[in-house]
Amino acid sequence: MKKLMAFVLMFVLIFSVVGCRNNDAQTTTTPAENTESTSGDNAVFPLTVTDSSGRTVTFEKMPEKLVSAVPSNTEIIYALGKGNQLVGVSVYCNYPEEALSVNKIGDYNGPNLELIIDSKPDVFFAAWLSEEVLAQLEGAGIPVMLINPTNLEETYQSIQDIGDIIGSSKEAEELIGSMRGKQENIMQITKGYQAKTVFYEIWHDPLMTVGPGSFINELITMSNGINIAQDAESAYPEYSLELLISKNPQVYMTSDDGFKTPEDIFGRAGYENIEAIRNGQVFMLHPDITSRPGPRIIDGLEMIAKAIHPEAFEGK
Amino acid sequence: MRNKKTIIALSFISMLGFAVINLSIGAVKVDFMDIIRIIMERLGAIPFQNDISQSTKYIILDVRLPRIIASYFVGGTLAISGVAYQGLLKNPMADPYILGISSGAAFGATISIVFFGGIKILGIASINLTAFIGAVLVVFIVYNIAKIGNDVPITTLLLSGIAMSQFLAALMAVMMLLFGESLHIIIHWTMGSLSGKGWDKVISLIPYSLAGLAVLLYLSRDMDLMLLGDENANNLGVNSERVKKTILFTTSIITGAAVAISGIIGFVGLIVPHAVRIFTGPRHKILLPVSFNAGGILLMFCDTLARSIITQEIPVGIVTAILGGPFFIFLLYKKKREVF
Amino acid sequence: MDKLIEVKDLSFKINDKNIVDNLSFTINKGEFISIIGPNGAGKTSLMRCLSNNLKFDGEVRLKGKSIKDYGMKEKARIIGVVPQEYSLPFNFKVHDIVKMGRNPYLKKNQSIDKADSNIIIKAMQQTNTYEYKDRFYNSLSGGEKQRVITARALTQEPEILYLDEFTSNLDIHNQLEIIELIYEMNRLKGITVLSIMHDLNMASRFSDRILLMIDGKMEIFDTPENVMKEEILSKAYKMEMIIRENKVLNCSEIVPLRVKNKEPRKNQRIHVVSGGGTGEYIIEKLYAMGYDLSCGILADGDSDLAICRSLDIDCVIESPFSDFTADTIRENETRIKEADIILMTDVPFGHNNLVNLKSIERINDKKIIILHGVNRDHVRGEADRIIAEMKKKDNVFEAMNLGELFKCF
Repeated sequence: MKKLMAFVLMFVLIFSVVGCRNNDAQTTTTPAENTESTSGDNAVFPLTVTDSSGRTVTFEKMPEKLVSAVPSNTEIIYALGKGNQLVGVSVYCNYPEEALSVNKIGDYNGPNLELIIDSKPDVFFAAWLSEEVLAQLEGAGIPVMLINPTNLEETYQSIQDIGDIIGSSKEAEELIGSMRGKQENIMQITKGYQAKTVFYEIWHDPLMTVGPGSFINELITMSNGINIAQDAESAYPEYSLELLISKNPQVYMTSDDGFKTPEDIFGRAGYENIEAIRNGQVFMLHPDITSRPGPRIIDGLEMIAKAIHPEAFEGK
Repeated sequence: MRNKKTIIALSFISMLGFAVINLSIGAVKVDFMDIIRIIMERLGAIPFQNDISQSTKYIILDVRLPRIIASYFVGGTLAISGVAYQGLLKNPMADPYILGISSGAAFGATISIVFFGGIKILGIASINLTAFIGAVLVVFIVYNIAKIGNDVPITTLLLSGIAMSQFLAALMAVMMLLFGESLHIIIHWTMGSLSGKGWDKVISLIPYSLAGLAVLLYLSRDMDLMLLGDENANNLGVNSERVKKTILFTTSIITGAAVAISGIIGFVGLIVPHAVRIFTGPRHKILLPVSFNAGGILLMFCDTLARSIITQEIPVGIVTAILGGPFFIFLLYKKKREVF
Repeated sequence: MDKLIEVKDLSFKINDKNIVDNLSFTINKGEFISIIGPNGAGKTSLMRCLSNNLKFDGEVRLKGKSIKDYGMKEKARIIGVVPQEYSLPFNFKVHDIVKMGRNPYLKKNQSIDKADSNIIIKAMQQTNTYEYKDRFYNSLSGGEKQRVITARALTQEPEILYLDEFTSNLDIHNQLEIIELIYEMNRLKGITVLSIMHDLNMASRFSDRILLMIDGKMEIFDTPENVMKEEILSKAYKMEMIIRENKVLNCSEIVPLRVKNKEPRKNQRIHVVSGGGTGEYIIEKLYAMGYDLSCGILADGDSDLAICRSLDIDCVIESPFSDFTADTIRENETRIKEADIILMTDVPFGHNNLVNLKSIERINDKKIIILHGVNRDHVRGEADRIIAEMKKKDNVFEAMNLGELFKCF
């Protein structure tokens, strides 16, 4: 048990540092379907929004000071042009570069209550909070939005929600439109090719991959790839080497997290039996881009699609 | 005798001093005089201070203060539970979690995280409730497994506690694998944290904590005698089976209450009793109150570090282990002859 | 006499096996009682029943009231238990340990007062523990710890002390010291003592009565003289032993011999000429080797006779301080004739027993072994002359020491 805990702890810490790779995909609740959709003009205040955990939050007037505890939300706010209103971000918010100079208020796992309250935000964007912290923030009169999309569609929705709240409904709509366009284009150009089997390595010891319910699984499917672990029990299951070899994926992807090099992967015992390894189809992807449910997720989709079907993008 | 009272008084005065110092430390810098003014204002001693912002007042009175008090009572409760378990089991290795309370609480919390989400039952967050129920239930089960007739031999008690812990830990691991999306919430909980503990949590813990201390103090001489062994204690007029039951019941309730609120904070319940014993000797009448205080102060101190050392919150269990471990090793090295 | 403890039909079972089997007896006020018996006889279980620490059948009445009806503290004010010394998980000071003996007299939150303190100090003085009252209990030697535990029991001001093999870990000095202390308490303060003893000689020496247990049953409960009997104890402990009078201490004393069964009979008979204790060791050893023995002539009261009697060896006896009569001499010569080997110890010869030497002087057809001796002639050289003559013969062998002697067998 201790070993497991140690591993899990390490897993979480490393991933936090590397860049909130999968935290945004983890949630205990289903996303709200009934977020007020506003189109065209900016939303009218007072505005009531339902967040990912099902809470309804009412904004009397347009928030001016913003705090974000999640890198993806920070990226969305910048993409919508309101980055200058951020008065606090998490220590992992590293994109765009301007975010690095904003005051830090902790991370998604340990937000610093005092710093958040002290920065007197008009809205606080987070992915998950313990009940105690949530209660205290509400007690301090700070509106809290828990935004925790688990797939691309929800990501669009969360961009729209944030846009509505911060008075950038229109920009949000444009952003979503451009993202949808890119998404459809990628799906379109990869569709014509023979689907390839894909393995995505999250961690090497023990070997862990992405299963159904994970972002990357969705991106692989959209790229006309077949995630060999798509029938797994959970979003981030452990995977046996035996199964990996027997499923024999054509493409091997992993995060460029600094813990391994392609040489390491090529050199692993038993891997010489895998088609992807024999053909040199190993891709190291930037984890921030492939897994943050923000504007750059489409770039992540493109990276994955190019890895699976490079021929589809030739000359483009 | 005067010596004993002096030690207790000293430890309480230093606790108050620590509390005030800790109140002035935090991620947000608040002037010491402002803190005094905020408190005086709340107490009604001085009129409304409009040069101090509302959010600063909130930070001091509703974030920092309840958290400091919560850390004191959680630390104190864990420390006296440790004292009680070490005495009861006649085992210096014992801590409040040795009979599986931590696994029970963690399992209860996991169930709540995975299945109940943010549901509240009678105004209490389900995670606190199931953790408490898990903790108490596990001790109850362990006790009944270990029971032979009317006797509860220490060895079987320890063994069934360990077996139960391992079993629940395994179940928890399975749930963590199956419900991976809740993984970081479960881990966050098991690492123990006092982040965001407000007045409601403080108020729900204090009665348990103080009642537990009172019960244990009432039994303090019986606990001394029980260190001689059950039968020797019987021969000196102690109904050791009854005392054992009372202590088990009391400590499991108060530990459960503390763990339900703070998650699993290690080390306090193990090292504080030993460290205090070096200064007070093993007699429970003085060991218990001083340990309560020392445990409270230690956790208060560690939690202050946890919330202020870097912008990020550090799980306080990590701080207690990092600070407590070397400190205890130092004490052990210096004073082992007098304790063991 | 006042009855302090009355036991009636007391049984204690574990898995239907009777550990204590239907005991009934009475202990009077002021008595010093020892419980003896082999390991596993149920002594400790009996004692734990008598302090109501085990669930037993039958009845134990303490001062006329069933012990089961006593409250814990009430009982602890009458019975003080001194267990074998032990270590503690945490380090109490000696004073703290002794102070615990006052617990039966204190309410839960009551502290000790002046009177209690005096009792504690007195108990420590009596047990010679006062001088190290501020030392840590765990740092004491076994003897010191035992005294502290004894002091704690005295602090209970009990009417009866239970002692469970309380001397087992102590050297003889500490053993005796602590038993003398208990004995003093018994004789001077009238504290009744019930003590499990492994050392039978200590039990015999200090007890008023001894309770012998075998297999959970009470074999005998009587005065030391009546219990310290070879036929009783050798059955209890399944061994050979000699019981003799310890004249210094005026009590019966046990000399344990062996547990190992003696070797099978060799169908050879040895006649031993000994006397004055010169034969004790040799006779016992030859007996153990499986030889048939005869011995003679010994004067009644000779120390060699005690061992012959306890081993049931055929002896020709003459009353002391008188010349050996013709009848006994003839009887002895018959034994010599029946023997295959004759052995003569380094016994000194005087006028009375010179006849023993003369009886073997002319034996030529049997092996004769003579143990070398010095200053054995008290008849002006006659014995030395006879022995010197004998040694010239082929059938006579002189052993210079016991080692050589036993090589002949």
